[in-house]
Amino acid sequence: MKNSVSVIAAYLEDALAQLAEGGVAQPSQAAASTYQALYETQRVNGNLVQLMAIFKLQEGMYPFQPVEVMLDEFADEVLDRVRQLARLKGLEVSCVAEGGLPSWFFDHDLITSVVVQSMFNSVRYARTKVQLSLSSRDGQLEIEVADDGPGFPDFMLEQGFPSRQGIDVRTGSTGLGLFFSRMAAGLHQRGDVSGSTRLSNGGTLGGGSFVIALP
Amino acid sequence: MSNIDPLRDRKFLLVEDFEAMRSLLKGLLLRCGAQRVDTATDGREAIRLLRNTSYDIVMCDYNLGPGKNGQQLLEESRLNGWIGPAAVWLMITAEKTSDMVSVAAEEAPDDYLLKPITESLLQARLFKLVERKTSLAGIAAAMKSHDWRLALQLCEEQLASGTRNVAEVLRLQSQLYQKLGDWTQAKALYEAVLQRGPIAWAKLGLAQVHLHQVDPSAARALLVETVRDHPQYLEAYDCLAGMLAAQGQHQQEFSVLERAAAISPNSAARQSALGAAAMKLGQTDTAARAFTRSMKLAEHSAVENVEPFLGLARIHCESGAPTEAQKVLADLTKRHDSPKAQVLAKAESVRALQAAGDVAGAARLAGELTAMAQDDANPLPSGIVMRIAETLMESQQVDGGVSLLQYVTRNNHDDEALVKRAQQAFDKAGMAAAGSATLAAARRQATDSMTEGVRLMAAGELHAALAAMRAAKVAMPQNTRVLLNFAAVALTCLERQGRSKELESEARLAIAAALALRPDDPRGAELLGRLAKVPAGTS
Repeated sequence: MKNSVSVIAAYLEDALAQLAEGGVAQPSQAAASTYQALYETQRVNGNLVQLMAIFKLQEGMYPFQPVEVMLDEFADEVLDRVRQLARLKGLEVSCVAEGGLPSWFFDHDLITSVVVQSMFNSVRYARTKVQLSLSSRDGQLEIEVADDGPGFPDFMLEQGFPSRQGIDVRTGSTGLGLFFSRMAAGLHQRGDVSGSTRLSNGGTLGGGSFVIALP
Repeated sequence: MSNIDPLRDRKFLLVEDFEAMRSLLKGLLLRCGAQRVDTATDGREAIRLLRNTSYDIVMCDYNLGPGKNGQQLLEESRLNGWIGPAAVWLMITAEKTSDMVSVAAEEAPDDYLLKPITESLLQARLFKLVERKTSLAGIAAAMKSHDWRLALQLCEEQLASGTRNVAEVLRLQSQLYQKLGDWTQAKALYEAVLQRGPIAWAKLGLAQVHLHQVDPSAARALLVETVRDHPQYLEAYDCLAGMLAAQGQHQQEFSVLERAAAISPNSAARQSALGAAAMKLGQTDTAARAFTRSMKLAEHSAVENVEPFLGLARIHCESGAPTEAQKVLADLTKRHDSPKAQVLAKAESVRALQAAGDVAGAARLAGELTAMAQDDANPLPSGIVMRIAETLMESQQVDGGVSLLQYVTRNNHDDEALVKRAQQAFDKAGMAAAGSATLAAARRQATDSMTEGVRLMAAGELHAALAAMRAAKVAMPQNTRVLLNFAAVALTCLERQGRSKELESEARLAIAAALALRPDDPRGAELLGRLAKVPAGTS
């Protein structure tokens, strides 16, 4: 099933590339629809990946493997995943790195999945801007995804993260992404410190802010 | 466009069984700047192409349907030298599994790429990998030709030049220190790396340092911690299991290997190791299951997998089915044609003949093997000769067994672990006292022949010392210590009296022979370095 989703995504990308080669200055309606289809496909794919990972984590079979990740490459890869969609929506996507951290240790696939899904979410709700920030705080790497949209609904902020049955009325999502994020963060431990996630509104860009902190 | 150039002249091979995906990936590669892309739909077709063309970049799906998987294809390509040290192998996969993550660093692909793959992601990844492999190719080539000093020097140059691949270079550097026997530097490096982060290979390396410094409790504590914090890092389980085996704690050894096999259930090597550990505990059913599974997993692999055949044959013999054993051994010799596989199958055959009551046949084959194993013109590694000796002893072929145990001991008088194994073989055959005397005599024979040389060296009689060492070398051409001592005396002669073509080549041959026996002996590499610096002749 996942292979098929990947193929659909690749076909859509291919279609977009061909549309782009047509040399149309303004994105055509066909391109816009294709982008939207691509976005939804990637969301389905992301959810599939996360569901499989959650299943494996709970069975103790997830191949958790922290490695040294070069943060500039990491940021490039994450931005790359959402760039096309953001461009289509006319959003400005930026990246800020503070503290001069060259690299950090974490499970590359797991954290990429968390941050990319969060970026997709921000791209969906942002008015004009989405920002990815990497900084060092209290000996932890903090990765923040912020936007200038309406922010997270109050019940989500109160809960901190949704219960497994919770429904995010804003997105209609099941809260899978946040549940997964918290689980992924918690796997990262150093000494007594575990990774964590937090949500807030009115952050860096005035809208929603999602932070994953990794020791 | 300058960013397209790095891929334009590279030869690509794309291996993907899924037609739609294959054409999409090929399209992606072409858009990334590739111009020469060959495609294969399965392992067989890929092998045909890999044999004939030296590819720069292989992009390969992990799951290739029936037959070989991507990992087996990679191992076979490296084993046969179809891809060079600078070639990039990028594995593509729908999801990362334990089997992929727990592959040892040396056997792993250069990177995994999770589907879906976008054009810019692929391009960025390819640029990065090409850059990394190109900058590390020199080190890889030096390591492949066992030139540890050159490799180390290249590592230092890379670090000094501010490479982006610091983590990888440090890992290689630590391996090189170990190979050169520089445990102090290795330890300092592991400790420095662990300051950077909780890195599994550095913990394992530090545990190996503890083992070398004969501090098993520190090693064990660190290994237990490593296994707990990095459950996917199977090399740590292997090291822990090996250590427990050496301490005779076979039940715990088995438990550790069982956990490792559960984490990576599709590794032929893991199942084989598990089977061998079960044999030690007398759990023949578990052992037979593990061996059978291992053989099945290795069905499409080019990597030699001899142990499950030998283990299964032995189980058949011990359960009174020597005919079945012979069938398994016939399969083994058909499947693997290396000298190692052939002689070990023969040795196990002796056991089967003996079990079938064909005592004369067993004795004939044992005699043949005893002669083969001591043939200095076609030497076998000491570990293999020891295996043959053990099998002969267990099969009541004591004459041949004893003669081989003496031979191994004479040629490895300084290897405590091997001599201990020889003594255990005697013990099991109920010959403890006689064995102990025999082994002591074999060791004395080796040391006596060198004592004279050492005495003459100390007295400053260089030429007489050289002659004595040469005599020892003729008597024990498989003894690493003797060969290297000869080379050391020869080098002293060369350094003091200037170059001599004959002596240089004699020393070089001795070092090469020693390194063939023990490739990781640090003295061999050191002497080769000295040999390269012999000053021009004064005589």
